[in-house]
Amino acid sequence: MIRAYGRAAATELAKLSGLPAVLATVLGTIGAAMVITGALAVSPVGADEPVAVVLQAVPYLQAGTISLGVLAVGTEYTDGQIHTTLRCVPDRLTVLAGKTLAYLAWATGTAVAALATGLLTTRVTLATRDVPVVTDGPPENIVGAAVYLVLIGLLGVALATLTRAVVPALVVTLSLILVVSPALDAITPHARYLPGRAGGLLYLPDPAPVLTPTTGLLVLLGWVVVTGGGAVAAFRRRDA
Amino acid sequence: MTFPNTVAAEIRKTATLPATMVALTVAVLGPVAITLINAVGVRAALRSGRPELTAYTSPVEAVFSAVPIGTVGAVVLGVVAVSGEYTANRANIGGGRQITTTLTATPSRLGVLAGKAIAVGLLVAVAALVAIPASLALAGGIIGGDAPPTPDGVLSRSVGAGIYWMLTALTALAVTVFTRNGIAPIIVLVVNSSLVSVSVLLSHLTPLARFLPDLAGMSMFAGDLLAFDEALAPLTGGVVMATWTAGLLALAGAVFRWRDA
Repeated sequence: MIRAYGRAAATELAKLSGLPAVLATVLGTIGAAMVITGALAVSPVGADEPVAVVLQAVPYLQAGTISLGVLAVGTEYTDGQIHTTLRCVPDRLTVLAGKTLAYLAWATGTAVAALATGLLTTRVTLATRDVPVVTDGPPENIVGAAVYLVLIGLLGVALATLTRAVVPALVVTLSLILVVSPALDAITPHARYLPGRAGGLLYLPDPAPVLTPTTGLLVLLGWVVVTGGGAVAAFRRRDA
Repeated sequence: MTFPNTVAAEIRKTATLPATMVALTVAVLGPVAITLINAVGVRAALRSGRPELTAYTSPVEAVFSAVPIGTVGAVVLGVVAVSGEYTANRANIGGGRQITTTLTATPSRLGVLAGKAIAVGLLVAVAALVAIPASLALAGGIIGGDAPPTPDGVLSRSVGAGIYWMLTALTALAVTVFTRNGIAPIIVLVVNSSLVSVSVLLSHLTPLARFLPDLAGMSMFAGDLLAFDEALAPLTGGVVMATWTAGLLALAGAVFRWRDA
């Protein structure tokens, strides 16, 4: 069982490494981290705390890990590769487990690299502007941001499995998290239970705390489990 | 093929893509649904006598804060109109691409692109004509008598939102001509269609950011919702965004003519 998962994960890792779109997404995310934190660090509005600057960039960087998650599954369906995949690994649960593990590896690497690049860029930019660095915020927020980036992309994996295509999954996931969620947040306090807002507590403090970072993480995990469970059920029941 | 025939063909092709149905649904039902939730929240805050709970209390703002979700629909429409041509069929049915058929039927490349632009523009206009009046009526009906007096310029802001959607769709179309694949334009444009776009970020850096297409265009409808101080006047913003769109379309035309399909 474990060995089957391990082999499936190794296969999926090899497949992902061979996708130009995945490499472009990883480099794009790291590049975006550099540009956005650089822009924030030179902007005049109170930027002298590198950690805080990097955390402000996280809402943009999540597009990167969401895209990674969608690509990990969605590309199987663009030219019928899924048929080959399922012929080689007939157990559907193993395929999804392998894909999820491969995604987790890539997303963790991307998130860590992007956040580290962001921190470095901010420090260099602040140093060249001769701004004295006040203090680094608590570093656990950076760890929280990395965890958030990896988990939110799992929603992309789940939605791509449900929609069986790249573009619809991208549209749904990105617009729910980046467009719908802020629109609702302006108006109803219940928006704090949406995945982006609840998970955001992992790296941004809430001015009026109702959820703690831990409960926020649990809410986000709940969203991942519900959509992921739906995706697993659909993937097992449907024809490929 | 005459130009009206080309336009008719492009309208039929674009309108019958499955993704177009989804995009139109998002562009129409998305703003209406968000408006509904917004308006119910505003009404609850007004009735409980605590209007400070919500970011705004006017039914009009409840509608215009829902415009970005319609922008997503417009982006999808503009992207799939082009990327659908380049998507290869499955290998077991020949692996062909529709663009070869399209250009065989209509060898004039600029004609094809103009036809696509007209088709996309028309479809987005239809979506806007349904979505925005419906959202305004819905918000007015829900908040009703509790609402503060209606601010001026609702009509011009509504028209502005529709124009913003059309120009965004045409920008998406032009960008997809460059990339010939829908994934990158979808990611960038959907991320940027939220009210907290990358351009808002750049506006902290330089006042020139207000001339970027999305920030300039948002001034047509966003009013106070725009988290940005030095926005252009609505009309100027519209002209700036239209200029960007025209420029990108011209560039797309040049690239489309010059490259192999």
